[in-house]
Amino acid sequence: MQKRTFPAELESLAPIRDFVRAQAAPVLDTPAVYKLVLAVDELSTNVVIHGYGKRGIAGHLDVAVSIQDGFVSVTLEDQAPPFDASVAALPTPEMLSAPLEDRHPGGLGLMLIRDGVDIFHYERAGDRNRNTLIKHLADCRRPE
Amino acid sequence: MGLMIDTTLDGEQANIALTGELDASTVAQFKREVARVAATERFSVLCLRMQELGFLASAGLGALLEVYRTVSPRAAVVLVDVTDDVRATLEKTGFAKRMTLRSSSEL
Repeated sequence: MQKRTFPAELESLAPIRDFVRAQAAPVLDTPAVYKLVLAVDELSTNVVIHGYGKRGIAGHLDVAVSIQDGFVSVTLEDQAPPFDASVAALPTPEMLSAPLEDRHPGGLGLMLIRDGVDIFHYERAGDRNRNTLIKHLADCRRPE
Repeated sequence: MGLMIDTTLDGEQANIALTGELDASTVAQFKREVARVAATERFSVLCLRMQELGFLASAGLGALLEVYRTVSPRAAVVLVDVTDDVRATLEKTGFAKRMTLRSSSEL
């Protein structure tokens, strides 16, 4: 398992993506890497903006990537107030097909998180939010 | 990597070429440039050239929505040379059906 700690700020988003991409690229095919990295980015953005930022508190984001037999697991932990994005409401098909004049962008990040991985799990562990994203290798293993 | 923006004018066509990544940390830079161009230039088509845009997060989708609403009353907005990964995001979120996507050879 590879683990790194990042300041919970928007400037950390690109380094977080680079870290996850570097770990996942050797085992996942290119589209799967992109979608996993996108899911991690959206989750990290939520933590930085809504978890820490709107409450005016500084903090860190711990990111751990584990490559195991059959899946890639990314765990993000933070000490922001509790928030379970895994059960938050997604945009409806009607909202997604609405004319751009009428559309609201809310919920798209949550949608991209769930679309990018096979399992999205949240738990509150002590004073920490722990979000785990799992991508199975079965259909998206990088060709030898 | 950040985001680099290169704006050019070609007659009635404004071109904003995006290189890099459009996420929550770079989206303000993009919106500022579009607002500047919209306020100071005359054009009937705004081409957002995305061949070198390697990453588009939901913050970028929100920005595209703002850009469309700002510009579309007076000009068409066209996404040009979108990469496969970015296109997949646009399709998943319904943007591909509502925005105009073209290759540069179709312009």
